[in-house]
Amino acid sequence: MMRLMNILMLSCRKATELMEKKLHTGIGPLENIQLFMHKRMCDGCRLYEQQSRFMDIILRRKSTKPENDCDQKALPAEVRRQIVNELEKL
Amino acid sequence: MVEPVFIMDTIENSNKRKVVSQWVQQHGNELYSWAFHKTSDEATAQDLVQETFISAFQHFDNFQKASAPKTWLSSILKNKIIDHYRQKATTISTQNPVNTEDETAQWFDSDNRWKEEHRPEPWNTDENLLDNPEFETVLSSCIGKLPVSWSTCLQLKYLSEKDSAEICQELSITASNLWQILYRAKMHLRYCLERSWFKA
Repeated sequence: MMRLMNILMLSCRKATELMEKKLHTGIGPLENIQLFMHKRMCDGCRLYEQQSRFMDIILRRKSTKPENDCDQKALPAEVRRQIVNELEKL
Repeated sequence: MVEPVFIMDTIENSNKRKVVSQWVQQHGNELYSWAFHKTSDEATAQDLVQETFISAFQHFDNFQKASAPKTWLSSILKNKIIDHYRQKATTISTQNPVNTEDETAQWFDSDNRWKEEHRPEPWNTDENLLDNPEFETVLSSCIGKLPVSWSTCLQLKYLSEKDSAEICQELSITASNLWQILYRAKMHLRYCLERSWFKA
């Protein structure tokens, strides 16, 4: 029984690593069970997983913000002139 | 006597030039805003926008008249941004190798359980945090505190999944996998957000 418990027990460090790995390359069936068991017992890692997902959402949203949703900045007039000049040279 | 073909060519070029110059006026601001959002640097964003219009002129024949110019220009700009990060990655990895030590290892005790200081605490994410500009500022500042190679990976990952895997591998010396870099980056980001926002 102790041996079985040892096989099923993960450390918090390993558990959090597996959560990230799972998203990218996937993890094996045993690792999945280990992770499941660990999360049932560990509040810290359960919170970590929720927060990791939350960070994914905010990072994706930040990175994929559509062009027309960005704070508008004006392309300076001299840069416009310079671009048009460059086009003339081509 | 000028060759007729040459004259045709010149007329065509001047038409293209006219169209692309119009695009500079119509779409310049939007493209520039987006490039700035991605690179956080005015001079870089201006260069990328200029390269985009030049490239649009040179590859004008690839432009499908049926598609919107803005969409086409955006896709050129996106590639320019990815190239920019790729170049940056090469510079960073040669000039400033990533810290080989994984300091997040120190956030766990000898049994690899969370140390008290680093154990995640509940976050209040009910309110519409994603639209809160103050939260956005804190998030940007936390990303800014990460090593440049990690934040580059993090931002790149959501811009282009495929390129990010390739570029981040060039960037990394010890961690050979993208997920390991992202793991370390997210651990730091989580801790920073918790201290600067959720528990502040």
